[in-house]
Amino acid sequence: MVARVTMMTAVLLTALLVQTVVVPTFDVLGWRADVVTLTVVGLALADGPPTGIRYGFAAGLASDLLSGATQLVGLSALVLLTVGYAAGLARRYLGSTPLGGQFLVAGAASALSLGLHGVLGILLDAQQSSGGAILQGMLVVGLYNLVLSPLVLLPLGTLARRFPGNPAAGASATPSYHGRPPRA
Amino acid sequence: MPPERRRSRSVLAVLVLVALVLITVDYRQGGSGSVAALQRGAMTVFGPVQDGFATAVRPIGGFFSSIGQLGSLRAENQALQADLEELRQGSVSVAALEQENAELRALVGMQQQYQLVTTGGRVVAQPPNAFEWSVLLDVGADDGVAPGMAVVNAGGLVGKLTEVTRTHSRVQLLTSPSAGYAVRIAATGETGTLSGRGARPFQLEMSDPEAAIPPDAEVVTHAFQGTEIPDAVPVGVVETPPEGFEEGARFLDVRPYVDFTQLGVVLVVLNGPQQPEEFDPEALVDDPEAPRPPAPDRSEAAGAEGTG
Repeated sequence: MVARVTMMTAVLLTALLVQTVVVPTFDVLGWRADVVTLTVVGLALADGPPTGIRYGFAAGLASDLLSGATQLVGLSALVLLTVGYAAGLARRYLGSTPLGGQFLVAGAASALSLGLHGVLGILLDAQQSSGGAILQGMLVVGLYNLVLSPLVLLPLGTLARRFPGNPAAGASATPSYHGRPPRA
Repeated sequence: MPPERRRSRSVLAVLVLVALVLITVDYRQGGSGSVAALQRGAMTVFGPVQDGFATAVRPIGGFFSSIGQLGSLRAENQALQADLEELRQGSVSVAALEQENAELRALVGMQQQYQLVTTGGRVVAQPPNAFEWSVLLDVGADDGVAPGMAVVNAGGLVGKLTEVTRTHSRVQLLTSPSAGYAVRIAATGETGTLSGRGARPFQLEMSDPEAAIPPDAEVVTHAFQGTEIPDAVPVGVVETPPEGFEEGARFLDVRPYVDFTQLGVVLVVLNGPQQPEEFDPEALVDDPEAPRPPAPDRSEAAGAEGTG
C-alpha cells in the first residue's frame, strides 16, 4: 500500500513538472495538452472509480495550489475527481473493446475536464471565458490529449500492475479485480 | 448495491464536500486568507523544483524547437546580418540624433523621464490549468523584486508581479482577465482601461467614448499614482475594423505586441513611477496641545483695512 501511494505521488509530481515546464512550449492555438488529466484517466482506467476519485482529488488540489492566487483552490480538485470517477466507471464498459477505446475515453475525459473547469469558472466568477473559447479548447485539448494518451496510459497501466493495492483493499475497491480485462 | 460501490460513493461524496468547502473558503477570503497562504507555500516549495527541472530540460526543448525552426532561423540570421550592416552605417547619425533628443528633453524639462532600472528573469514554469494566465520567474525578493512591479520584454508590457517568494515570483500576464491596466492612445493621449481576455485580443474601454481613434493607433501604458507600471510602455495596436470605427464604440480590440505563448526572458522594472510620499502625520492631525497660531486681532485687521 505504501509503495502504491509512493508510486502515485511520484506519478503526480512528474506530471505536474511536465505540465508546467515542458508542455507550455508545445501549445496548439494557445491551448496546451493536459498531462495531469491524462494521469487521472490512466490510473482510473487501470484501477476503477475509488482510485480515480482519490487521485483526481489530490491531483486537482496540487494543480490549484500551483496556479497562483487568482485560481480558486478546490476548483480543479472538484473537476478532476469528477473526471476520475467518470473514467473509473467507463472502465467497466471497456472490458472487451480493443485498446483504442481507452484512448478515446482519455480524449473525451480531457475535453470534459476542460469544459467543466471553464463552465464552473464562469459560474463562480473565477475567470471570464466565452462559451466559444471553451468549446474551442475542449476540441483542441481533447484531440491533443487523444494523440498523447498512449504515451501516458500504457506506462501507467504497467505501473498500476506492478504496484497493486493490498489484496483486501484491492478486492473491495475494484469489483472486477480478478476478472480484469487483459491489457497489451 | 455492493458494499464496495457504496464505499466508493461515500468517498466521492466526502471529497466533493471537501472541494466545495475549499472553494467557498478561498472565495470568501480572497488573496489574504489561509488558503492563499497555502498557495504561496506551495510556490516556495515547488518553485525551486520547477526551476531545476526547467534548467535540466531546456537544452532538450531548445534542440527540438530549433530543428523545426532551422529554415526560418537561417533566413532570420541573414536578415539580421543585413540589418546589422545597415545599423553600422547609420550609427553616426543615430548618435547625433540621440544627443539632440537629450538636449530637447532637457529643454522641455520633462519631469517624468523614466530611466527604467530592470532585472532580468527567466520564465521557469506556467500554471497547470488552462484558464490561468501567469508565469513563474526565477527572480524573487532576494533579487529586489516586489509584488506590483511591472514586467516588460522587448515587445512591450508583459504584466505585473502578484506573488513573490525569496527566490521566485509569479507574473500575472496582461492576457489575464482578472486585472485592468490604465492605458492611453499614444498619438492623441485619450485614456482608457485595458483588460485581457485570454487568447483573444485585449479589450480597451475608452474613458471618453466620443474620442476619435486614428487608424492603427498605438496603445501605451498610462502611469498614475498608486501603480508601479511605468509610463509610455508600448502595449499593442488598436485593431481597426475595415469599415472604420462604429459611432461611439466604447470597446475596442487591441492586438498585443508581446507574444504571450513564447515568453523566454523578461525584465522586471525595479523603479516604477514614484509613489506619492506618505503624509506627515503632524500635517494632518490637529494636535490640541500644539500652540495655536494667534488669532488675528479683529480690531487690528479692521483698522488695517480701514487705513488701507
